[in-house]
Amino acid sequence: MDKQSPSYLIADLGSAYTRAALIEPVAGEYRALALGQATSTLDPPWSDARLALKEAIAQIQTSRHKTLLSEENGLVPREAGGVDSFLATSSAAPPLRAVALGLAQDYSLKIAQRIVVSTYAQTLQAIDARRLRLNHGEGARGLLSAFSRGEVELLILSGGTDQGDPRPVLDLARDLAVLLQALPGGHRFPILYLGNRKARPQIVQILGPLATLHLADNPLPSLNGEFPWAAQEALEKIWVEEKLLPLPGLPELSSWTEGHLHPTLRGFAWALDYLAQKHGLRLLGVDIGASSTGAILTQGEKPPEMYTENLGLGQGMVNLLPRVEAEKISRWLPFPASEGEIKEWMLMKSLHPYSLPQTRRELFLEQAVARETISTIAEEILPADKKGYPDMVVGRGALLSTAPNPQQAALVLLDALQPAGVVTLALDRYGILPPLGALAHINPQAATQVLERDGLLVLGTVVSLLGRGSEGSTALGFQVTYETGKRLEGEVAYGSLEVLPLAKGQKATVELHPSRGFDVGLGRRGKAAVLADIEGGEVGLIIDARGRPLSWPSDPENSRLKVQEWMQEIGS
Amino acid sequence: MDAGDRILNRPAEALSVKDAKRIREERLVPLSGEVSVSYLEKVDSSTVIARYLTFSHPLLLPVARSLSVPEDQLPRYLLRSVGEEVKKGEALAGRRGLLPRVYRSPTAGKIVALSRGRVILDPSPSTTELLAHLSGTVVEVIPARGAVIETRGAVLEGVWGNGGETSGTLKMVTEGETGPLGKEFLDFRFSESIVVWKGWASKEGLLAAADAGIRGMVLGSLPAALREAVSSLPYPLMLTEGFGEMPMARPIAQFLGRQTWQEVYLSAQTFRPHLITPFELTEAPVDEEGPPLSLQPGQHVRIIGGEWAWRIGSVSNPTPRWHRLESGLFAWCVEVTLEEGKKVAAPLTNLQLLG
Repeated sequence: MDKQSPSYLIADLGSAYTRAALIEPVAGEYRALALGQATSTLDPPWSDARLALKEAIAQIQTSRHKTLLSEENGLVPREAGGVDSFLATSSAAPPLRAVALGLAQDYSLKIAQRIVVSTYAQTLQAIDARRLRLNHGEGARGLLSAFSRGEVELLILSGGTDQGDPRPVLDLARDLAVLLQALPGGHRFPILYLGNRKARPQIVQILGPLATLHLADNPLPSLNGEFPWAAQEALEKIWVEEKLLPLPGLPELSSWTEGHLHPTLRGFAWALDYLAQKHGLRLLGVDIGASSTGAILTQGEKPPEMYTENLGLGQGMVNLLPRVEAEKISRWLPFPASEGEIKEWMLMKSLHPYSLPQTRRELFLEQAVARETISTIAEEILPADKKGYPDMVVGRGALLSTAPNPQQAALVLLDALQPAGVVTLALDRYGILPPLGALAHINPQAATQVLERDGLLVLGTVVSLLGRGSEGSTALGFQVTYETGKRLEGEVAYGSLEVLPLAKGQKATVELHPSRGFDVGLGRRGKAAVLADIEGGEVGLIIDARGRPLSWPSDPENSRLKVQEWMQEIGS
Repeated sequence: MDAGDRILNRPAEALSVKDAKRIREERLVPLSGEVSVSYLEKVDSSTVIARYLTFSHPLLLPVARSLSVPEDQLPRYLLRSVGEEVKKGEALAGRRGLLPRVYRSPTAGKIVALSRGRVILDPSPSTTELLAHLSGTVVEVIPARGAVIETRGAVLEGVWGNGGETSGTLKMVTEGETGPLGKEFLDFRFSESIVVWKGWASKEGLLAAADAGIRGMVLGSLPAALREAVSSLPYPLMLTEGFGEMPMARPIAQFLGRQTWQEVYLSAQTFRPHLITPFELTEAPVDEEGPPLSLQPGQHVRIIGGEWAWRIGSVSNPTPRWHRLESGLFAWCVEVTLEEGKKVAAPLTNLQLLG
């Protein structure tokens, strides 16, 4: 190892799994040299997040014959053979339960609620000033009732542009102050103020004595644009302080990071943004975890857009039940399953979030739920008409990265997202992209090298056809010219998937001749396209001629046969 | 591939099923209140740990409609004024004549306004008492929130609860039945007690239990279709196995059999519900074990999912081995011997230690 270059230990602490990796330079290039993983230990009887991290680090120690933890269970410093820094991300804490108070539903409350869903928080109520006072304070008393039951953990107060009249938001603050004064025992809520900047000094006077006040830049400084990013970061900090750090073992672990402890979704967003800026691409990230699922869309020079909800494949699975009918899950299954069986399986999985699917039936059930979960989240962040679809999709989560084969992971993403045009699919191979995103802030070179060499597993390129045809008719003709000069020609039938060989590291030129009525993402049906430098991957070049949106035969038996065909066609 | 000493063989989950354990139970009010116990104070199940106020939504009382008078005429019939405090049962408005009627306040509160024939009543905050629910010693006072009670006792952790808590005498509904809970099994004999049913719930059985006036219930499982309905039951309920139609595991049923006729505390919180049987305070202290860091031969485990789903066995070889599952996934597995003697490989991620 280069003695001058720093080495890092990075980790991601989820609600179900804890992963760690050792990042060191080898022959002048940073690599992820060793990995460790353990089921998380936040729950009783262990009740200490550090235990799982220590188990993961112990695996790295054994693998690298290195001592990273001292006998007193602190990190061994670099001088003694350890590492220079430890960085961590986490999604392990439950979401913040917030009430948003604003002047108007269409402006201040709407943007406050969008800020809430950009991180691990949920809006219990969104109340405008009029409703607070309606029926002689019915809204206010309802809020007081929620406070007294301990349901509310954060108040978000927003309203007014920075140059506007501060009086309305100050009146709202005074109404809120009256409520807070009625609370027993002088409990101090955290309040995040996002409103009119001119009102800040008086807001501090009115609410400062009654609450723990946090201030952030107005996401709506004028009516000419939205700037939510400072407010998002402020909310993330509150989540870390109020929900993450109180978890057992987290304060000590946080001290190891020396300030480099961030929400997982934020770390993932940094990693994707870094890749997007470097390669001039537009990226979509989906992170499907045990308790939450998030989506990230990079936006060029602007910070990425983020969205997350308490839906997942472990504890979060129970929250999907009221949102998605069992039929929408069973349509992805290659076998019959009753509504009762599906619901019982989902409820049991939510009670046992660490459990792995042991049978193929359980695996396909989990993958079916994953499709609906990813779809539910991604549609909040992507345009419905699929115009301007991202260039690359990066999926992360144990279900994707540890799928029995990469073809299954690719099919889950394709089915869930139903992308349009030409898109590269990739996975967070080892679950370390979020802490690599954090590493990018202190050592961009190290983060980029590891991201590109070890972090991403490229599955391949997908060409998805828009349009409809009759089952079995020719949807597309293709010609693939490899770098060796070899050519491959053929046709793809409507309703099917075709996988063409194109391995990792290989490139090819692809000519596409869609039939009349089909569009390869160029916006014109029947128009041919030549795509140069198409990259390969673990799966290859996938042509998805199933049309958008996907459709199934109406007969259940034929529908299941169709699903089996898709699985066979992609090679899973 | 063997693990050697590289991979620890810690199970992913562990539930307490212990006949004797030192227990520390937090008793906290939801937000803020007045704590009424002190450090090292001895408490029993009826001791008030803290008191706190809860606020209710304003009530919109349809007084004009009840009195059959026009909305705009309501002020003529009012017996109390806006701004006045009223007690529960006090007459708010009345109509004389051939068919006199009176509208009485459903609760104590303050009349804040009249609106379209309705009286808007702001209910007075009510004081709720947080009881100890178990006997023990206060070992920590948390200002304005409550206290931590320490006791010795038997503990059973469940997998799901419908919320709420209670204490009372534990009674087995029957000794042998393990199927659906039939209404014929429940009657006045179980009034004011916490009942144990070794099978699964049925709608009729749950309703019959409510009619019988039980205080709480512990049972094996709950069909998924009843999950929403149990949230409105008038008693707390705890599941030991989960959702579906599964009988209670035998070691757990046997444990509960040993607690029968004891005074127990049931906390049916959704996550990690539990049942505690406190010992008499004269019992000898129990040595405290640390959390389980590795599986040992002979320990009882439950297998989560798979071909041997929910079966109980004992660890026969705790050395983890890398194993391909039928699903195609790979996992570190240990050998478990089921009750009938069959040896199976079970992933550590799918093992719940019972003990």
